[in-house]
Amino acid sequence: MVAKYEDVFSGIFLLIVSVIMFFTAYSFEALTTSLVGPAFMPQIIAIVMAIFSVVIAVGGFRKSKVIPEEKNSPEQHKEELIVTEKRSYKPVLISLGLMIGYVILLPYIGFLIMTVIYIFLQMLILSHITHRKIWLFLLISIVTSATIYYLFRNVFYVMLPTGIIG
Amino acid sequence: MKSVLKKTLFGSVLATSILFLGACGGDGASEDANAGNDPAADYPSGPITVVVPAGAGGDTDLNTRIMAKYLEKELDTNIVVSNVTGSGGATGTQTVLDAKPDGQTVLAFHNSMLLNNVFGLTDYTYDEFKMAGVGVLDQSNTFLTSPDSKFQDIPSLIEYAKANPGEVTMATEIGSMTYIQTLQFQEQTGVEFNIVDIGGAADKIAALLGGRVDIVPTSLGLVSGYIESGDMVPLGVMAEERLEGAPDVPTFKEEGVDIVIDKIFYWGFDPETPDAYVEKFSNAMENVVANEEYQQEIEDSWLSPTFLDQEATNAKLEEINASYQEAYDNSEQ
Amino acid sequence: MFDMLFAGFGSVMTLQIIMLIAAGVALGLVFGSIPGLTATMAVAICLPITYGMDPIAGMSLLMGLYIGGVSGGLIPAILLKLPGTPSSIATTFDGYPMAQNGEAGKAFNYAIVSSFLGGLLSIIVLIMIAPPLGRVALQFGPFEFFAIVIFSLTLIASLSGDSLPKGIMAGLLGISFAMVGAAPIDAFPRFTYGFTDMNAGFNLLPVLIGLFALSEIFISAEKKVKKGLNAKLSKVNYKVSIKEYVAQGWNFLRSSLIGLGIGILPGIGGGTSNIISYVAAKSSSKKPEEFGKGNPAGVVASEASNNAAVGGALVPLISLGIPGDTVTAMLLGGLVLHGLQPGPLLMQNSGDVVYGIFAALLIANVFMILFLFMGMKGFIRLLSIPQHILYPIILALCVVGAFGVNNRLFDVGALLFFGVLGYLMIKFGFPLTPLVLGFILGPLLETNLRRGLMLSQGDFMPFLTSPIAAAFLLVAAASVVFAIYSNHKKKKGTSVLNV
Repeated sequence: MVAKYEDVFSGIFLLIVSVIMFFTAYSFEALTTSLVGPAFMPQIIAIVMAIFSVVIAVGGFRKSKVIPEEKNSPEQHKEELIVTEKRSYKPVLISLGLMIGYVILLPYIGFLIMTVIYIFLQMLILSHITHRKIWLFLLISIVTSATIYYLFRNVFYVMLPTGIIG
Repeated sequence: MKSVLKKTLFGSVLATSILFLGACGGDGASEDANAGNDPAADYPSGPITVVVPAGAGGDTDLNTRIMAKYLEKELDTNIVVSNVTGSGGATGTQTVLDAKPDGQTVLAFHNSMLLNNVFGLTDYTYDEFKMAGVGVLDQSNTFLTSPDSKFQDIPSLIEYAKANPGEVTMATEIGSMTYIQTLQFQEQTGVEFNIVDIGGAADKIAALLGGRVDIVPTSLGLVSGYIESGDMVPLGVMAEERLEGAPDVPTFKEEGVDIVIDKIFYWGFDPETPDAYVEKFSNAMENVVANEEYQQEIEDSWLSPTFLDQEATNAKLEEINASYQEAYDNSEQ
Repeated sequence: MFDMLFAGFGSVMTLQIIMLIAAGVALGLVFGSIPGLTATMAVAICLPITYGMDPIAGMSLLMGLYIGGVSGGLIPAILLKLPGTPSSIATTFDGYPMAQNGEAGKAFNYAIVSSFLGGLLSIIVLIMIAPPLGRVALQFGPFEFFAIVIFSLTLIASLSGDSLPKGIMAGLLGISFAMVGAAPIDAFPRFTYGFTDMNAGFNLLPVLIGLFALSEIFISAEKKVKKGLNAKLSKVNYKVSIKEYVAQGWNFLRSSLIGLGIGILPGIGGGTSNIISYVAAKSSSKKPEEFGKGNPAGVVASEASNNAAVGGALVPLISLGIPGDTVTAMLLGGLVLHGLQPGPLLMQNSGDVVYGIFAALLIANVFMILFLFMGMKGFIRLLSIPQHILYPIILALCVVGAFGVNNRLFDVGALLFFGVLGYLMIKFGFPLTPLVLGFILGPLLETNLRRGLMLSQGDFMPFLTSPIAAAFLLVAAASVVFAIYSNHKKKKGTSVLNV
């Protein structure tokens, strides 16, 4: 369904973005006064974007008429050869949620603990049920997180957030 | 590699001292008493991060790194220079205000922070920070031109610029120190330049060498090599007196233009940082400035190794801020 | 000159300095090969370590890091389709398909040898003719840079894959994202909608690794790959015959010269040279349709040019004291901290150090090829680590890299945002590379347009009357016409490139 109209959707979405861009540019402040100020380039780009979003949407609409149900799959990943399950969007959304949680909690809980949790859970999400070696995953997540944390904080002096252990 | 070594050394020193303390458990009371006398005994509690709101390799970065190198010994900790660039330095200054006020994060910056406020980019200025002090003054702000330009000193520049308003191209970075200097120069002499934005110090040097601009305002120390090679000619310095390193270069004042600008490189903490920490840091800076090796290194770049304490720093910044505000107000009229 | 170089070798031929160079190259390779960590970061981290060394030793270490950092990017690019740095984006186009076809070893051979030779060529040019080349670079001002950027943007046409409009749209999105934050020249924020965190805009590194690495993790989440990437892939064909190398001779030379030229121009930065060389190789090939499917010429073009850009970027630094990118800016700082005065007199006043640097570069280049060949089999074994173990670790490293850019969590958030964007773009059939190209070039386009107009006091004519600018604009116009023509022609043809 979505696949059929994907170009129409993305075209319309980008058209809205370009219109917002164009009008936001009216409120830019400047230190200098000239014809080509800080709003010039954003507005030119917004106009060109609007044109191409229409081109994409119209093209997508035509295509949806010509090839009614065939999904044009542009990503021909070679790994698909060894895929064993059908693709599903649920793990993608769970991964995204996990990453968002990781980033939000990073400054409060700290890099070390959050990274152990993240790596462990992400491994569980990405792995197939027959390949879930809980203890191995736990070991790997602890060892890698600790190594990264120690190396970057104490040798390279990248001040990763310490959080509650700091 | 070296830092690993340092760390290991530090670790073993620490271990030894813990053992020592353990062995002398009986003296614990006197230890505690000492700690009670010095409220900053626990400072610094780890590596200190210096936020430099300018790119690596520029004068802000270099001056900070030189100071940091000596401060490491004074404070007996690692000092990590972190370049946080973006929006004319406002991103870096904000980073320091957002950090924990535990003295482990410090800002090292210069006059541009005042300008960001004067031009309306930020709603805070120097008084938002608890200043530790100043370790370097740059009194070598100068105008440079190329050897084949039509004017080789300030009076002939003014004369030429008056005869040809808007013809002399001045390379600045809009909103920066060089920009406000140019506004001040225009205001005082009544000339009108074609002010163009060229970018940072390296871009300005390239533009002058490439013959695209007539005048480049910058610091003498950054271009001493080009002056020596004859690729650039200094018109004057914006200092009270001629520089020791460049006795041939007249001051703007001598030439009848009353512009004296010190670029001051100050170190400041979040306002909620304990006073004792800031004072300890400030004392360490004072010791560094008194170090002859440090002085030599700073003088090599034609800068003045001068220490200003918190009070003097704030007074100096207030003075500079007032002159910037005035120049900006005049230009708006 | 040769006696100077000889003396330069003499001064670095101590055990300590050789060890420093080797350590620098090794650490640089590690930083370059881990997505999210870059040569810039490696140099920034090690700069303070050099304070205590004498100038030649310190600069030798930094040169090793620079060469290693630029070269390491080829490893994840070929094995995992992850460009660790902008310099290796184009390496993924053909290097990854080669690895998937069981030719990972071959891809490495091509990539490593071209990196070595591209680097060597540029170092020789640097040693022989840096001063006159530096003077040439000075002739490029806002008008010329504007024209070059316009020309480079037209390359998007060749990188668009199936749909030209989508490729152009991706490029426009890249330009738009680069506009977020402080405007060039005026410095007032744009498109921040009141969030002060956004005033500094987006940094290239989170954009790049978000688009390429995170999106790949999302895609692998979709499909639950059962095994390692593929066990049989590590049984690979390594051999590349002399004849096969020679066949790449002209391609190699052209790509190296492009890399060198772009490296020399201060302000464009070596990050785009690999893409430009790739497009040049593809459009001058008799079989452009083979590109993107595992054509070694694509790997050679990308890797020769990004290493050639290293020597190029050092030309204005050594001859004039003008840094062209972030790494050379830090090297400039390194020179000053070691008491040297960068500028036109550097070679005269501190010839011993300069020739020591040259010698260190040549030695670092040799260590680079040695280490890469030694490690090659080990890298390929990475392919047998299951994706579900490798990817979470890569993400953690990307987070470290994004955070390390400015020590701000905002950049980590940006990484996530661009990861989602990259995933959606792949799903909706938009190519990613034009976005990165637009993101890099957009600010240069705007800044140079505005600076040029300030210089000419509002007159557009100098953009056309400057001979260099006019030439580039003419080529740009020609390539647009050609792109429209060939897009029209291939309407029903097959896709040329899927990125």
